[in-house]
Amino acid sequence: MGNSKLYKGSLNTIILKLLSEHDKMYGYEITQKVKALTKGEFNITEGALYPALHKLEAEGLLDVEVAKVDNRLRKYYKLTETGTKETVNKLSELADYIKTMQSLVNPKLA
Amino acid sequence: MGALNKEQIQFINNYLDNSNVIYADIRTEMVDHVASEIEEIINNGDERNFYYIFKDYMIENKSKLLQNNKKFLKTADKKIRKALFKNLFSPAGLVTIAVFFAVLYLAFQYYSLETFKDLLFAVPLVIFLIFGLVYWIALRRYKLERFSAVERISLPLVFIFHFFVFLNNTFFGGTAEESKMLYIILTISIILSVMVALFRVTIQLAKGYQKRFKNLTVL
Repeated sequence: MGNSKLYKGSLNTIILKLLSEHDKMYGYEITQKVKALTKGEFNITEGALYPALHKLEAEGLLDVEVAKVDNRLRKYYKLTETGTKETVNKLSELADYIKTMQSLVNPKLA
Repeated sequence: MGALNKEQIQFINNYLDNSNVIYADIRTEMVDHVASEIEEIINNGDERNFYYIFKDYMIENKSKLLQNNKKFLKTADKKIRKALFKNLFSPAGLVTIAVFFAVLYLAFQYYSLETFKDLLFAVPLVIFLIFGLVYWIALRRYKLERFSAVERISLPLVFIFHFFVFLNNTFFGGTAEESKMLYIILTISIILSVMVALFRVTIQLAKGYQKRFKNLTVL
């Protein structure tokens, strides 16, 4: 895995972005999706993922649905209306951040 | 290989319960996560017995899982504080404070200062103890699951109650004088209103959990 500290600051945005592309997702599914998309470069630990999910839920950006799957209960997360709007803002902030970093680190590409 | 069977899921559930993950809302999610990880390991070709795989997984990941539990409780407390303040400072909450104040002020006209003061400080404590006792009996009698936010909801009340008692003892010396009575009545009105607000929030949270976890007993 690369520098996890650099990714950590964007964890909420990553979660919101993934949920905006799926109707609903559960914790383990999110970790696997991120792992697959980044080809194993970014591995979200449960110690980071679930607190982030619970915080987003407490802020009203995510809604929760519980379903019985494979002999156990599974907690699914999905975006609320506020969450959908916040995703757009967060992605725009992240794009600006990437652009700024690009101009600092590699001005030719900016 | 398909999913883990009921006994294996129950084993994970019991293990986490014994590891101090006592609240069902967080444990449910952890059980699913651990089960999914173990299923993945088995699907990737590990042919060992479930219990060996589980043991190895826990040696590597237990601390991270328990760290998640601690953070979850912090978020639950924050959620309660937010709901409590929202409820207390809503129009209904402010009317509740005013009604308690008016009733206590009227009652004050009929009792001696000392009796009234003792009574005022005893009432919230007695109600709080009864509330706690009923909750404790209900949990055992009906074998109810424990939910984090519902159970931790009385914490703010304990802090508020002790804060006011501390203020009273520090600044008002403990002797009863008429000039202090308005302060004491206001204090008790706020404490009783906080209790009403906590009761409203408890019902709201319990209903939410009931709706969300209606299948919990099948685990």
